Amino acid sequence: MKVSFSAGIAVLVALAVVAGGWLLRPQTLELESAQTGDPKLQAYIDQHFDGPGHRLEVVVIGDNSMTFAGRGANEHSPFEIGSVSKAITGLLLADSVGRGEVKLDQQVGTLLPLGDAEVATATLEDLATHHSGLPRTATKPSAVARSLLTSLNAGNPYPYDVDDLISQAKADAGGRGAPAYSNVGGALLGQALARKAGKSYPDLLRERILQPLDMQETHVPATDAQAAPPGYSSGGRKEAPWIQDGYAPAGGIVSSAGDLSLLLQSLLRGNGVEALAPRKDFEEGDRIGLFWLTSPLAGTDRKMVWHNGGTGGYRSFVGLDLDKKRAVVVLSDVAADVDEFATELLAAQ
Amino acid sequence: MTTYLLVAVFAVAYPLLALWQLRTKKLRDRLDLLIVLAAALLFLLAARALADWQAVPPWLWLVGLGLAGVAIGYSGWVWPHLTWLGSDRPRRRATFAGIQLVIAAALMTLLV
Repeated sequence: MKVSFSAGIAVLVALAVVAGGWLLRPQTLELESAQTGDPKLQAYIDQHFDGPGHRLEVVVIGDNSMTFAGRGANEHSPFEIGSVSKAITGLLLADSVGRGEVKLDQQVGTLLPLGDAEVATATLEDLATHHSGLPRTATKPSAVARSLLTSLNAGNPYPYDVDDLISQAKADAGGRGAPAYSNVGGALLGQALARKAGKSYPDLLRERILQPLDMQETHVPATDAQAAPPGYSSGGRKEAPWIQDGYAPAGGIVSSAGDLSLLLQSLLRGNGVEALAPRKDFEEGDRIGLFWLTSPLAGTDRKMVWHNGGTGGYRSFVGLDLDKKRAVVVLSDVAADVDEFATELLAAQ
Repeated sequence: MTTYLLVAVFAVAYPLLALWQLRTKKLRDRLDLLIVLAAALLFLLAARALADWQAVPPWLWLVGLGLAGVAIGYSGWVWPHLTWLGSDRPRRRATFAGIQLVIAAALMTLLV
């Protein structure tokens, strides 16, 4: 009698757990059915996009043309662009150098209060080419703990202000020389440029990149209300928006496919391309300019200049074929890489 | 990638281990049983949050869920044969077990 009572309870609990688990199960998301934009590009998406997806926006850009196609999104829809923000910070660096405000061989310690920390002697070029010796993410115990926590609860791992960033960078000096991708370095560079110009990073971005190119749908969100809609993990879990202040130059920008197309078209027309020019060797045989990477374009004898990005719930890719004067933008609100799809699309132009 | 795969394997392997412990009467007491079942659920939720489900097939998680369900259901037959505290130091045992269960509950709350 005792066994049957406890067994009954256990079976009920087991059923509840299985039912709850079924609702929470990881899922392969499918692209939304609502289609926007060009039918031919839609057909290309149908034939070649095989990753998990939800909202997706794809653009092919020429020096005088833009072709959009979207699923559950259009060229005005907001997306977190993650580390494509670094590529934009690279354009800001080239602009600041052109204005004579800073020099590439200038040490970042002359622009930010880094004291006698080892990172203070890193040059702006070191930071922009990921040769500063800074780690990928901050290694202070509190930052590591926060990062772990947010990976568990789908939160924002970069809630830090500029002072926090500087404190993390001071604690994170390392050996310099070999390339090592660094979000800390990317953020530090953007904040150094802003400090030199006497503005906040969002204001610097707005005045020097967004307004001249009429990019009205791009901004650095400071609140949930300004953020892009929540994206999804590769297993379909809803992820919190990454609202970044100190780290905004490395990954905090929200933009649209239309705005990024304006930016890439301007680059195809030769504006600001000094940021794209390779300066140093990077990982896996790539070369790197001011954050912009140059790689062989697979399946062709041409090169591609590119950057990708990722946040908890988004992936992004921008790439240019400067020889053929073609570029692509791919934005997805699922954290599953779109690089291969985007590269093949660019190679097919 | 390897880490992600390991997490996914744990989501299946730990519930299987829990079932084996129940079946072979490896558990000291009811607190052990609760801890083992809580850990199985914790591994499942962690795998859901941390695994790259682009690289790992999502059905693998359902296998783990099914095994955890069977383990919970089967625990109803094991429960009456266990005491609450099978230890010479019941207070200490209860304290440590309680701490483990509270931590597991807190982590599960984060992961849901």
